Amino acid sequence: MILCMTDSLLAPADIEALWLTLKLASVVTVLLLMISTPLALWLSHDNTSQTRDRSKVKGIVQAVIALPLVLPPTVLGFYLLIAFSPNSLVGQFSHAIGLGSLAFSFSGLVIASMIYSLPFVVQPLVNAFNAIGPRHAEAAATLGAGRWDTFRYITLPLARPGFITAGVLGFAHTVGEFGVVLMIGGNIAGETRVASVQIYDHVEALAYPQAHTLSAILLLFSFAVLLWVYARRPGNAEAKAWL
Amino acid sequence: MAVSELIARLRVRLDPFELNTDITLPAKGVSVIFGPSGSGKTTLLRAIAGLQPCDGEIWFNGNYWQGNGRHRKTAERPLSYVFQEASLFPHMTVAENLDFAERYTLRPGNASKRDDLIELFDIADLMSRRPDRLSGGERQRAAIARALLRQPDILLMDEPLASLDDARKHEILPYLERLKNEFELPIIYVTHSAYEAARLGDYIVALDKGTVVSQGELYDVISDPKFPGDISREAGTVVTGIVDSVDAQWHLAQIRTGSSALITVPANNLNPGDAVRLWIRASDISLSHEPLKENSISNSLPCQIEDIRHDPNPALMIVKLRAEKIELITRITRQSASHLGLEPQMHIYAHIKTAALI
Repeated sequence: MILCMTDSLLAPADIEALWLTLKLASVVTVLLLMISTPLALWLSHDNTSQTRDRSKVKGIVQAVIALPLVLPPTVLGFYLLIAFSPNSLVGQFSHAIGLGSLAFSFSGLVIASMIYSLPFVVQPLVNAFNAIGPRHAEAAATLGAGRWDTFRYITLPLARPGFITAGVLGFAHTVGEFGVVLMIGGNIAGETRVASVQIYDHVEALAYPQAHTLSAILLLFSFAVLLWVYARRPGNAEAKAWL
Repeated sequence: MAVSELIARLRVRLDPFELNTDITLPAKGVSVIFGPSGSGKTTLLRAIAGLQPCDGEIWFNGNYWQGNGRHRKTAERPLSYVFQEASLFPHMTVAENLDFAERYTLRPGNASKRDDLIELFDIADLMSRRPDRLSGGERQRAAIARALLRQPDILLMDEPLASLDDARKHEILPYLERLKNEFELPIIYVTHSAYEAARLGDYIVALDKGTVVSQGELYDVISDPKFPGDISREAGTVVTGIVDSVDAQWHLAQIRTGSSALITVPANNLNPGDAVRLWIRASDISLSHEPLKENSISNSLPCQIEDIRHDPNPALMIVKLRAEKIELITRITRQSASHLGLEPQMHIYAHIKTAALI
């Protein structure tokens, strides 16, 4: 209904920006869930039998993952821009595997967004795996289930609320990204101009009605997501506390 | 033919002390690992299962589970494990929990097992329920059935009754007795309860502060002064029998056992021909040279003395008796042993004060 009402107000460029935003957030969320699952499993693994060195490594990894929470997006964007330059290792690697230049490209945006939204996906998963604890996986092992079966039939279904929270937060946070995109993506229509950048352009051009429409869509979307996360279930306290 | 035993020579650093064991458990009957809480017995069981990293070696029936730089993962050891808190998967019904175990069964093609286990552990009515809708006892019964569905070569049980209240414990104990008697499955049973150790154990390993302080057959261990706790006070014998007759007026049943003398027990709801099991505590048996007639104790069995030992308590003696096909253990004071002039091979009457139906 919102789209119908605003349809007349949305220019094709606005729709393109919204579409790109959704595409970016979807790709990033799927990739992040795949990467974060093993990472969160490793981070959550019960510490009783581990050496001190290993838990130190975990502390460092956790701090690195949490960096985007506190760093100004410009700092992150600046370093990524340098890393994406054709002379850098990352730049050479992306050329070698056929991705081309990452700066000012959709692929670059995906990588940057993944780093930026990583803590929002990892942390709910770590919380979910910690809440499940090692006991059920141990029980599965004593019944003869291997690691993959244990994950598929035991850990995954038990951690489902955590996966949903992680996916929703990762998606919503990527939609809300602005500073990093501007630093490394620039403003290429259809390639890197996402909704938040489009709003910035509208405001710069003093096109307030268009800025209003896009902003309202993002506002409603974000509110709906947060409302859903908070109101969903009382058992989801950990994800909320972290939010 | 592989040697039927489990050898665990292992070390685990625990906080205040080190678990350091060199034990050989017979791979038959129930081996109890007995000790106070914090003695390292659960750690030992977890190490045997491969759930707890440890140094050293573990052999089962001639196969390495760990040692020589090799380490078989838990899932690759032919065992099942019953945890202290029933560890049914919370997102599955009881039936689905059983399905999961059946998927990894070590003896495929033995399909009738499932129905037998459901009947044995009385869980037919629970099959469609999830664990959060079961009582503690029901959960533990389902968890034991699930463990057995894997059809393991050995069953490890970590204090399966400890999280239950007394009433629930007595609800589960008969199932454990049946498990012990109806399956030819070696069991390692961890407990801090002298009662459970005495009632279920064939072979006992006593652990204290990570070290084995005593081990051996139950009867040897109960007379070992090094043995911790009150295991000799809890000692007793399980006797199987058939109900011969029922006295409705006095609510008594006469049980025919391996001895020609009948044992009378208080009984409700028993019928002649029922198979029953009796638990007779060592301290509930007294001895005399003549059968007692005018006495509140009505159960007198003619016996022969097989063995006499000192109890850890210096005032007491432990006497092993044979009454035809049944064996009994009794604890009497040294004074009465001396008055009676007890000797091995001597014929004597055992008087059973009470025998509990189990």
